[in-house]
Amino acid sequence: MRTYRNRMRLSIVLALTATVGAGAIGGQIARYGEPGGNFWLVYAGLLGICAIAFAATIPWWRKLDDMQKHWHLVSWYWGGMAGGLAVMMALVAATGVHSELSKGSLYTLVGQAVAFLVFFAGWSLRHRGPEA
Amino acid sequence: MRNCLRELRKARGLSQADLAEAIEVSRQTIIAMEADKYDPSLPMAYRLAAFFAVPVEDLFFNPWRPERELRAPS
Repeated sequence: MRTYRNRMRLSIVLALTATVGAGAIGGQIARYGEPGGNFWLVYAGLLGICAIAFAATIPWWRKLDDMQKHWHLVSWYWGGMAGGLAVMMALVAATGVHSELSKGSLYTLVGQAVAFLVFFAGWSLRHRGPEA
Repeated sequence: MRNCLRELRKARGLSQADLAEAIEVSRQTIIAMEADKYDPSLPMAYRLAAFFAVPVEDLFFNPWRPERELRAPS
């Protein structure tokens, strides 16, 4: 029976399968050629896999109710940021500021910050209304 | 936000899971709203009110309106 609960379960299975599958396929693509040798090809392939995995999570996201979305957003913002920063600080403390690992984590954080600003601007533009 | 969701649900003989299924939300959401731990969005409040066929303010009590006004609408 196509109950809400069953549809939700199905969307979770789809999202998890796609995410795990994307990880496995992405791992194979990343091994293609010398590291950095086919940058654009490998990068495009990895981005494509990420896009497919993201797309597979859309049905799950759309089925979440208000509270569940709020729950995920709050958890991702506070938990995700705190976890990322804790790991970054551990890498800096263990390997030094200029190590490859520290730089890698910094680039990830910069990417997150830039994407955050893009979405922040997009969201605020979409929710503008006419001034009375 | 204080509400009488639990009372209305029980009056209909529904479990939390039944109500969650009927309005397509999770059971945790129903539990949280009944326990006054989560304020629903307007669409969800209206959907619940429509399900129970009551005005929204009969289901979720408006804390910014005097209680007298709610009891005896003009």
